[in-house]
Amino acid sequence: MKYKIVAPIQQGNQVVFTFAETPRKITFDYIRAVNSPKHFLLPNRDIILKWKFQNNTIALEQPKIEEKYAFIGLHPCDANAIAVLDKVMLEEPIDPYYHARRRNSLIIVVDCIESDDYCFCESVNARTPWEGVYDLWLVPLSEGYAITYGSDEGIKIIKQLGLSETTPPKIRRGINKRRMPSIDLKAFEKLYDHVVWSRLSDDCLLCGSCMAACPTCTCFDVVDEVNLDLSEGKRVRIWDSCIFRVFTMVAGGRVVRREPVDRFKHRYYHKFLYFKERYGIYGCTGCGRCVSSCPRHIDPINVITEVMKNV
Amino acid sequence: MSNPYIPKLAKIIKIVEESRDVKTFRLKFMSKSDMESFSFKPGQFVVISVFGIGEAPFAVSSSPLVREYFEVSVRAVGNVTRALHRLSEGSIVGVRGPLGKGYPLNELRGKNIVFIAGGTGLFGISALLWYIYENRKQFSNVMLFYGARTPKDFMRKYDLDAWKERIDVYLTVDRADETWKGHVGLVTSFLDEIPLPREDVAFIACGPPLMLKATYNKLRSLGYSPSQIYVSLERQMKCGIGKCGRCMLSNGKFVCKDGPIFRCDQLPERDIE
Repeated sequence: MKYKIVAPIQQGNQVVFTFAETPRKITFDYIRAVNSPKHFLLPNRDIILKWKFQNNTIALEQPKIEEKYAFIGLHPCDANAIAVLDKVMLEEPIDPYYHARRRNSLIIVVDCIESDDYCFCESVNARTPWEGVYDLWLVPLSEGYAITYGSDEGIKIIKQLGLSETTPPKIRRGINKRRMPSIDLKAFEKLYDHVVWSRLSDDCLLCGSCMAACPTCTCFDVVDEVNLDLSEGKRVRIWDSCIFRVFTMVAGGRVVRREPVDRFKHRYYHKFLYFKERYGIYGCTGCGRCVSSCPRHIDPINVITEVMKNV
Repeated sequence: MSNPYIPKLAKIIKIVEESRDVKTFRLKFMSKSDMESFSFKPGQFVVISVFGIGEAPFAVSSSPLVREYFEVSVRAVGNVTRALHRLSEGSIVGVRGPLGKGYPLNELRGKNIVFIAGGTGLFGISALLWYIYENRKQFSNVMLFYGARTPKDFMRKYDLDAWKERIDVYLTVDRADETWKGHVGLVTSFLDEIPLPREDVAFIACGPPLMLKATYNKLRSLGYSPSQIYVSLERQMKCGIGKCGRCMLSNGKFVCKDGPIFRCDQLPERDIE
């Protein structure tokens, strides 16, 4: 089956990952797309089960995943974000829907030329695409591109196009304009109950924009939807955010993370401590979308800087 | 690849009214092979689907040694639990599981076991009580402290009667009625009155958040260490398999996948509720 090409495309004054009908619309000259590969690999409103009531029993159906995506022009942060998604969704028991889309995907990384004030990939070791993430890795040179393969599929493409592989040029450090202080995990953990979190969380409107924009947030809700005569229905997973009060509400109305500050810091502890402890990498690749999408421009660099000052 | 989101169909073959708002559902998988392959460890849970309403997690409350059926006991407090209560014998539900790790039987064998349960918290430990009942020689002294709001609120009374043969059962109520001759007061205050084993003891607590916290604090004040206390945690869950993120604790552990049973030295104190 043919790939559907997903690429950065200029729409008005923003760049969006969307299906490219013609190569002319694709741009590699961008800093940050509004959406991320998560929108395709772990889409909002994914159907995970269908059922039909018939003859006194219930027929269950497992939705088939047939999409085959070629992501062209991902920046290293977004390619690495796929590796972060992999950690959660491909950990046993494997999520079959994510797995099917992921297995079918082709990933072509194009290195970025510049950072803006929100980028911090260098602070979370995500400046270059990690091994195993990409099929092809392109680095713009003064003329043309250096091209490196990361998979058999990548080799095939290089051969078919009659290109020759080059070793990736040394990626110059210091592209980011700002850096996050290094996080001593033990010290960070000890600051869980520090008052600095209350002050920082006061800025947060608890709107969840950061989650929707984040290429690594995986949390979801599950909702049953039925047709009008109730004879059939589907189970849908919907993106959800740990910043919402109902996220941890159990039957009877008890909320575990009751206060805004409890929820605000949970997101940071998840991405910068729990994820690192469980999987060895941060649950954040420094793409900066949480800052650009936040109505108050709450910035992880500032948050972590302010928190780590108290060590 | 097996799909962890697809439930297996099971029929409700019996419903027992435990109290005004609690029912026990006896379930049998529709497919013979599903029933034969279903075996669970005490403390593991299943996720039950009422198609069109949703899913919710429940501890398996019947004995792990019974293989012809299994039971979940449900208080009607939310959407799914209320929908379950509207079903009748013969109705079909979906079942995923068993999920979670269950009680670490190897750690518990040979020890004195003290159960502390509040209200419907009994359902989280009843499978283990049955396991111990059937394998009584593997354990030293076994005590069950069980508190309910009123004498009418004791759950699985039919099981309590059986357990009494081999386990020391201590019951208490918050509010007595004219029939009640036993202890009155919180289950934690009971712990001051009955001598508890000092050595080689494991405390196993299950109940509402406040009771769990009070029990933990009580045992700590009596000089027991967090590594001697096991708690069963209730959190919001959607997937039950460590993906949806809802049940994550403040140490990054998932209640569904890494729990729901935790030894308290492996848990931040703030999560013990």
